[in-house]
Amino acid sequence: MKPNHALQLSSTVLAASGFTALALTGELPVALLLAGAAALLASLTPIAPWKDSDESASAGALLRLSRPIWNILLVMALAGFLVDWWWVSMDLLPAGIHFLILLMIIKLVRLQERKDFLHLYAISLLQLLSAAALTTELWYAAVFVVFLLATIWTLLLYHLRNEAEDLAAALPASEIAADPVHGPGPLTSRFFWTTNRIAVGAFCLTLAIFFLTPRIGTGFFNKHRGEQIRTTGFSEQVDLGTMGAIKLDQTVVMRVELPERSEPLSAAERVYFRGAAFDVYNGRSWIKSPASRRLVGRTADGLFKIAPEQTSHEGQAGLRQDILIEALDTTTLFGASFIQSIKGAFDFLRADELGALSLPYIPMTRFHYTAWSFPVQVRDEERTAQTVSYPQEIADQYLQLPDLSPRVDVLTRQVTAQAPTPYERIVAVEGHLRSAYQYSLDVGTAAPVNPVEEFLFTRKTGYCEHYATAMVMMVRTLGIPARLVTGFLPGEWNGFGRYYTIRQRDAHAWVEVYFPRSGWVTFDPTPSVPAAASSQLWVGAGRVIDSIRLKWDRFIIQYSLRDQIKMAQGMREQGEKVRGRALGLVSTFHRWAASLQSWLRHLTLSSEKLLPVGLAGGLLLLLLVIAWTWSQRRRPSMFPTLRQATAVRLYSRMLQLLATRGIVKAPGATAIEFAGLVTRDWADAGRYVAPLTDLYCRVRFGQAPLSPEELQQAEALLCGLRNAGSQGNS
Amino acid sequence: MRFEKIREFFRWFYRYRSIRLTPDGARFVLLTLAIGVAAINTGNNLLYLLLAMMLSLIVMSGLLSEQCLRQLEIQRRLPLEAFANRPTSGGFSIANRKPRLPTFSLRVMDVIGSTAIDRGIHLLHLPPQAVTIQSYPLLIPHRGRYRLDGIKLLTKFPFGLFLKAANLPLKDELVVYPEIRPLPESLVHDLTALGHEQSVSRRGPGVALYNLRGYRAGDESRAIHWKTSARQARLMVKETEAEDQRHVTLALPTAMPHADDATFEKAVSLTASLAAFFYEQGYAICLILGATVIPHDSGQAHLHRLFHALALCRPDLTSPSAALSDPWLALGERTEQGDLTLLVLPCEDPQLARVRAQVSRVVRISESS
Repeated sequence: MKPNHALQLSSTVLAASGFTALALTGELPVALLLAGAAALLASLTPIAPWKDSDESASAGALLRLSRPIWNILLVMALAGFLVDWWWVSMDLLPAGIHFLILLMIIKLVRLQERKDFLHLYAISLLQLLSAAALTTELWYAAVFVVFLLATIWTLLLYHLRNEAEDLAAALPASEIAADPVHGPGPLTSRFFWTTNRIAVGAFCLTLAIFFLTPRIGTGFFNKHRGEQIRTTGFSEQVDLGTMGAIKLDQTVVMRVELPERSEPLSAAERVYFRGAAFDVYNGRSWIKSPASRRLVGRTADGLFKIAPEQTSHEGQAGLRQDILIEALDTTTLFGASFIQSIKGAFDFLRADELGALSLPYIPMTRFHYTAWSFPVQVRDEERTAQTVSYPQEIADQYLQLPDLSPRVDVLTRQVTAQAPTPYERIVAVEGHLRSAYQYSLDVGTAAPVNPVEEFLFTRKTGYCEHYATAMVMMVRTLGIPARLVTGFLPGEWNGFGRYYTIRQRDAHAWVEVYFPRSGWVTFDPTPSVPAAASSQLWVGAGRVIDSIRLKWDRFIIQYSLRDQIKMAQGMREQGEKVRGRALGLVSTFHRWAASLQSWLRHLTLSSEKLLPVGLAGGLLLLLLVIAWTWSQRRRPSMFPTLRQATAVRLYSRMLQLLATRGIVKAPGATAIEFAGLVTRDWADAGRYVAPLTDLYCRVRFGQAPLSPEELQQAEALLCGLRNAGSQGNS
Repeated sequence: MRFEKIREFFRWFYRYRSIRLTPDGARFVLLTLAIGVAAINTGNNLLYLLLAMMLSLIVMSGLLSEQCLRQLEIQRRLPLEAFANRPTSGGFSIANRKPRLPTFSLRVMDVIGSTAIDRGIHLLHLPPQAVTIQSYPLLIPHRGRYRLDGIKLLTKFPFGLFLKAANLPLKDELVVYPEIRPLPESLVHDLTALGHEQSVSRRGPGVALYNLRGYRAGDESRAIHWKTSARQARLMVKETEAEDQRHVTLALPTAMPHADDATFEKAVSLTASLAAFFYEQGYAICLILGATVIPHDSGQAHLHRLFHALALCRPDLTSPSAALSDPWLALGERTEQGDLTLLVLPCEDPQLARVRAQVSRVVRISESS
């Protein structure tokens, strides 16, 4: 490819990557999207394979517009930008983006002078900058890599083209054509790979600088423009049946890493990511009673202590979760039951009496936090207790029932008739709901008057909300305090990235039952539903991509000063470890030296003459080793470079070829004598053998380096000899 | 004190390398700064990523330009002889000794003192292990020592953002001979006439027979005169008479009563032009230059000796009587012995009145213009 064509192509790719970045943000109107794409395609026409012309005239040549007209178009674009900013978009960023696209189109159409190229590069960079302000998605990484590669290629080619033009202006054309060092022909395969290696180097350097640049940003002027994910079930009031709408939604809401666990959670652990809890049911909706909320501040160690230390269950290991949560339209914070402490980039939290945690504001972007949770199990004495007495305030709050028909009470008594203890009654209700009802998201569109009774006695199908509500009602009819909790199931385990991906469809409702000594214990009456089968290939690919997305979020988007401090601490700890190992080695050597010294002293005492003899022998050995090493260094290598070795190999192949023609080199004959012999016996071969022998002698006996051109010449000679041989045979 | 030390360190550090922003590079750096400010203000990590990309391009520029300038073997090729104000050609032999990497966008300049002189040598691409010879026109305006203190290599590779320079301390020196100007017709006519009056027969290369003598070991066999050898029954050798072998003495006083460099330079140039003229005529030339005497001889090597002496001579303002040293006083004798003696006078000097009367001809610099 000609350098000018390569520059045109790389410039277009650079512009296309900036344009793609803006297009993928979804902020571009369709008209601009189509116009930009058309301009990009049009800019490639001068280098299209069907074009015969050597001149890479710009696409604007087709329009034949003079420079003043282009300037008028620019002024019109600027006026359009101002109108857009003040009256249409009424925001600088969208108006600026539209203006950038118009500028790109104008520059692409008349890409002729140096400054046109420079303006196009600047516009592309500004496009990528604008996209950075609008998105945090993974596709930005791909666009960025393409942009970086295109930048390296473009700047390199642009520079070389300018240099060639400057030289052409200074030297006569004949001189440029005659001397290759003046010619513009660097687009060889070597140039191609060298440039790509430069791009890889620049990419690695970019990452290094990115991670090492101190994050002193204040974020004052950061505008978050990402859309929030709508979710249900975590507001102050939740109507029964609303959760069904999101049970088919595949949108990822959070990703949960368990750094201290290498394997996924077992089914027996029954981990649920708790969000909101509700205590009052009015027959159609769950409501949080007006309970007092407290603000939780950060402690000196950066933690938000949710539960006092003494309430954590001694002897149980806490579950640490690193949670990356998307921008949901709720303030609720999620974590495995029950969160004891939490750590994140927020100033304070709110905790209510129902154990729900929330932020004081709705987050506009995805954010990251770490939670430590301790599961609660029923204590053995409460598991077997015949009666349990509850505190009055708990009974008042969690035994509330709406107007239910007596059938619910009757059904509950029937189900728990065989259970002697409260715990067994709860388990019996849970088991009955799991076994006697069918899970289905198809519950009809008409809102029933009494959804619980409809579920229990009429339809007998439903989903988690129906199951959980029914269980709470049934347990409360037994006089046992219970409440409904909403949150998420762990979702799907990503084995590639070792984390859980939790989607909207994993939203769940379950039940917490109160035990005076154990606390709130989780029960889930919803039967497990087998996941829909899908292609393993797609699932695997999806997990890999999702894992990369998580890494992108964790290490690029969410990378912060805290991570840098952690990294520095890690490096310091590693350094201390290495120092400790080095000191250990030194002390070991010291010990060995001391023992050797004592052994030598002992030897000296036992034999006066042995020590000098031994030392002299050692010294002699050392000298011999040094002399041998020196002789090896001084001895020139037979074939120090690959090219020289290749030349010798080519000569050997020449000898083999000649041997097939019956001309065999005698052991005593020198290479030049043999070449003379060949010329005499086979005149056609002489013109190949003589120069090849000459090259061989330079390498073999002169230790001369060969240039790539000479090596190519040697290969061409061998090829000529082979052809001469085949013609002779035919 | 500490600041001075730091400055000294940087001066030492950059003695072989220097780097300068190009206009495009200045724009690039400004854009980088703007992105940096935006990244700090917003705390947006994607802006930090773009900032890192811009900084990495700057670092890569430094690394690649350094790689471009490394392992280059440069040799200067100066002309064997150079005359003031006469175009000649110099050159550079540039070898890229890197095993794999080519060198791009290389400019090669000569350094005189602290000034880099652009010779117009600009290589776009020098493959690995390749050698190229680049020549350039060289016009030196003044005679004397032309000192070259080093070579400066410049490159804008890879992105044209920085102009990196490498200074190689490659010293060279060229003695530039005085300007040779064509002599005026009248002077040539006079000199030719004077030359015809002076004719001394002497042995030398030629056609006419000068002498016959006995053969000596080392004589060429084709010089044997066979007829005479046969007659005398011993080997006889013929000697030829030198053709136009005449002697000329050029005298240039270096003592100047007052500083007038331009006049002295004209005199030196005229003397050199006379030497060139008489060399063409086959004269054996002697040069009296102030107190220095270069005796008669002929041939190109002798001519270069004369030019060399003339190239380096300086006017002597301190000793006006130097012109009257022995060689000057002996000029009359030389004239009497048949030498053509010419006195080149930069200016009228009463001290030289006696000498003027004894030489074949006085050439004033006014005659050369």
